[in-house]
Amino acid sequence: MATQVFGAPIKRREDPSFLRGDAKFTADVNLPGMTHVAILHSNRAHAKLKKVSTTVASQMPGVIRIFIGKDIAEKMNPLVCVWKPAGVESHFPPHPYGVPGAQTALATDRVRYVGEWIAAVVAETRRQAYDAVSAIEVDYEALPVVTTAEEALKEGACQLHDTVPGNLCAHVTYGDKAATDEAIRLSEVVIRQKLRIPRQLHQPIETRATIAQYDTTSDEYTLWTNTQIPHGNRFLISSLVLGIPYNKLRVIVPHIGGGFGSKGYLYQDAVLMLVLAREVGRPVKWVDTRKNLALTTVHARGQSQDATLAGNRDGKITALSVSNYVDLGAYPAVNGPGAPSVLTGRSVTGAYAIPHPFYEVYLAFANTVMLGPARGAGRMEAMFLIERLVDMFACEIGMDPAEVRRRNMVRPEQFPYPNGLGWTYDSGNYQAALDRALQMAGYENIGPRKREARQRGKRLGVGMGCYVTIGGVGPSPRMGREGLIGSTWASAIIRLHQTGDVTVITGSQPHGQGHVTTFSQIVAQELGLPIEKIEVIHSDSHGVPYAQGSYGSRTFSVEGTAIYQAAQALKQKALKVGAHLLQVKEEEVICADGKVQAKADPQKSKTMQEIASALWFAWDLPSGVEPGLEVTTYFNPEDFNFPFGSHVAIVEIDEQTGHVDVVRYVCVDDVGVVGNPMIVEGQMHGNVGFGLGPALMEQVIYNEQGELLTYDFRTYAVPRPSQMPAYELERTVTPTRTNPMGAKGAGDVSQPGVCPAIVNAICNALSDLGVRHMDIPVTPEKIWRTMQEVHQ
Amino acid sequence: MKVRGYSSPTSLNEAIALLAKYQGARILAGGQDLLVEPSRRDRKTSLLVDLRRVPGLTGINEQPDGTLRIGAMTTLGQIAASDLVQMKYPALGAAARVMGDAQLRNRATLGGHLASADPDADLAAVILALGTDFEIVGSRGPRTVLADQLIVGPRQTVMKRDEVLASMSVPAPLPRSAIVYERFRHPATLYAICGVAASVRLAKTGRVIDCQVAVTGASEYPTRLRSVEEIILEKQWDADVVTAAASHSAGEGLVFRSDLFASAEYRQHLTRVLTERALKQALKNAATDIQPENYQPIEQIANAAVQV
Repeated sequence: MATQVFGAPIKRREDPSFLRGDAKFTADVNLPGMTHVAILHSNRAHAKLKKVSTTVASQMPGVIRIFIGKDIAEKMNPLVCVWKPAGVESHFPPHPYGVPGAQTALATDRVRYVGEWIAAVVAETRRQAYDAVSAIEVDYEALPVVTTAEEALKEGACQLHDTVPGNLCAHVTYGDKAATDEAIRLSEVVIRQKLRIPRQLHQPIETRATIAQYDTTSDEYTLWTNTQIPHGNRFLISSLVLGIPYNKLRVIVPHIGGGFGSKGYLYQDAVLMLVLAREVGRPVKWVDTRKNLALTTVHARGQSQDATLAGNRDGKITALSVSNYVDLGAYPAVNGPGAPSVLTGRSVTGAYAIPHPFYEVYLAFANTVMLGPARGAGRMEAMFLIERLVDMFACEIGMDPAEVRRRNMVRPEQFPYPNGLGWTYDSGNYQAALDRALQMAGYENIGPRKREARQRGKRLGVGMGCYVTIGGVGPSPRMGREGLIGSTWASAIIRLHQTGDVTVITGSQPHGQGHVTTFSQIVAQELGLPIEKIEVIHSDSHGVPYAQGSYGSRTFSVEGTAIYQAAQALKQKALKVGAHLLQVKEEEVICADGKVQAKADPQKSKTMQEIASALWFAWDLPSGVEPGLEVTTYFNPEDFNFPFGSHVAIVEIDEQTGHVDVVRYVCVDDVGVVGNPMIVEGQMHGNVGFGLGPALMEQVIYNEQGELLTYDFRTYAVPRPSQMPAYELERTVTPTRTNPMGAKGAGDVSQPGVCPAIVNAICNALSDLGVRHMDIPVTPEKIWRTMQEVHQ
Repeated sequence: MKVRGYSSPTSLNEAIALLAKYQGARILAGGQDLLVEPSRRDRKTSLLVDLRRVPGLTGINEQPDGTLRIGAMTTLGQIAASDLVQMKYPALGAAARVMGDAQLRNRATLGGHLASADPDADLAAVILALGTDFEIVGSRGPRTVLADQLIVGPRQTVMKRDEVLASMSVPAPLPRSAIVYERFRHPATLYAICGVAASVRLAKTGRVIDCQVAVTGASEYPTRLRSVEEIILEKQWDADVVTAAASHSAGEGLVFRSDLFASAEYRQHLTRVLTERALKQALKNAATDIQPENYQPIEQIANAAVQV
């Protein structure tokens, strides 16, 4: 097969079943004898649980049993956190095994956030379960509430955990503070700004859902759940929370209706449902509701940054210093401390060579839902910070912000470039991407457009968002040094059957990205086989090797590389056997077009199927060659990869209403070598939407009592297709050196460019009014008020 | 909501009899309000009376006098797609098209939309400005209610519990008249944070002889902006100063709503801005029918300084 499959924009193989509505999600799974679970959530942010009365509720129709904290306390450990910030003192809720602890599945004596689980009703039907939940009575004794990191860290603030003095989980620092302070002191210009990045809600179209079954005869547990990390769940649940043999727990993941980082955890439902299934002796099913999703599914972002950027009037940036305050929630998510420390902290220099960077973050516990990553995790907060400050610096010294960027960007000859905060950027041409984006957006001619817009009652502004966002998690030793109690390598199995069909087995966990299509393209290209011959198996811990799942733009460049390497190894064996069958020396054959051919005479060849068949019969194999054509590989990358790009937004602001219209949105992204450009393009569309939301409308709001005021589509805005700008996409291709395909991450890497591009454009449009900075989300009312203040 | 029973009567009289008989019975039309009501378990509904099988409640028909009669069970989707509506009252079609999404519009009905007196209802502003009549049928027979008498408070109408909204009649458009709807979209619900419809009619001389302006979304319930109308009436259509002054009075006496996305103050401001925009555009559109000897150049309006 001579056509190029790898790199071709072929349609996704997954889509027909989704489009027909045939694909099965967790809520679609029904088992014989299944019962239904509804959860009672705390409606207090911080209180002692004096009494939980289930007397009335347990008499209600269909109720099988109601569980409260003390019923399960002896049957399972608390959940765990597997990210313990490295090299610093840290404090967590307790866990009997000595690892960082997290919440218990059901609260026992105290609740610490609105939404915490208090009781679980098991009933014959879902409706009966929810009816009974409303009949449970809880007697609370109120405790003081803190809802932000700053409040929680104040002296005299109420203490959430006995094991966490001062509510401080950890204070993490990167870079040389003294040298940075000195560089700031010696600089001509110093920009200081406080940036508040509100929390963002996850709103995947499918809520979390879990089904559990326990088989008394085999003592085996089975879990159906929509997790991004099935193998991680299996390991954590069996080894650290339930204390059951690893091989007695099977985790199956039906199709997932969106993850975006919201499902990459061990949540309380997975463990609790297993216990409930065992206790009631029947399968149990729990499907969350939209409103309750916001009460326990991780929130993301939520940073309070004090930033200082220093430089000279020639446009050179000399130093960057950031102090950040982050509330991890009442309990840590399984990887909670990771994003605000490593992902923000080490990334905060962005695309620039800054001689003296310093970052510190105070990670605190407060009475809020636990904090975890969302698409663009940690890096969005970092890019927003640096890109806003670069604009303020440019404004201060009266230089074009594009020129300031050019003067400070890491230059192509500087790679590999250590950024001073712990990352080594692999490859790139940052300035080329910026210049192309500016050219596409018509940056040179923006002046006349501004004047034309004013005649129509609009203020036009242009803004840039340049980014470098780590992808390809990751090198396991490195992740270990960051504090991850775990590993991040990839695994793959490829089996070429005697029929010529191929089975690819991946430990990665698709949740909408098109793994099946892209992985098939890698294998089809390497083995020269038609894509239809290739099946890709995933999402079941039975028969699928351990791997890390999908998150952090790791799948294609890491799990994909494992598949690529497996295909290479398979080809090696095919060459050896092919040469034997063709009766020539191994050095005298090559693999091409799905065949092993004699170099001297390409007509003399054996197809892959013929070779697989020979290996199946095993009647005539070279000595020392085992039957079968199957390879298992693992890939532990040497380092991460660093995709980059530049976005340019042009906005028009209605002078009367403050409404923002994004009239142009230009992206020039570089994710290295791509497997399927159409899929990458789709990811970039998603990234723009996921960045537009926090820029213009999304924010989590708690009131002083710690009640969540934003929890559904009436109270929390997420961008709909009709609110999306038209975008213009281009890509440059700079391969990475950290994997043989040259591929970088793509899934969430351009999201961090969006928010700064849009907010920079808004601030640019309002700059003649003296507007320097606006916190996100920049709502129409906020803009209107700003314009009003200036007029007064 | 807990429902005890369900019925799908096949005549209007049967439906009315059921509503009269069962205390706590509720009408089910498209279900787009009723079925998504927050799961208030305290609200008991004795009987759902589904109007789907009642004949004569759907359709958009032009009467001999040019009036457009729209059945209460006509969906928003049908109104949005109707050529007849588009031809006679584009603003009505436009307001129907911005309501929710296609799936919702395929279920939501005109009658359900108005009878629930939803404070966010886009269509309500246009209907108030158009000055439509409603036919309401109850145990004591049919009666006609004017548009501005139907909705009397937040989620409150003049309808009795045994009454059904049967149809709406929109008078035929007159020469030198126009209606324009301007809205500002809520980022979360996509309904109107503020929507203003302005309907005007001009004399041959360019004097404003009819003016009806209504707001939805911003205040507690959709309502007419009478102070605006009074200022505009009898004035010359291109008097921008008047338009601005009228807009400035928009919202006087109203109680504005407030939520996480838009304060009452901002909604009041939007009411003024959108009133001015809708009025100006409506006046400009109506003026295109004015005969050349009386014609005033449109540019005067387009370039006029905005005074709010």
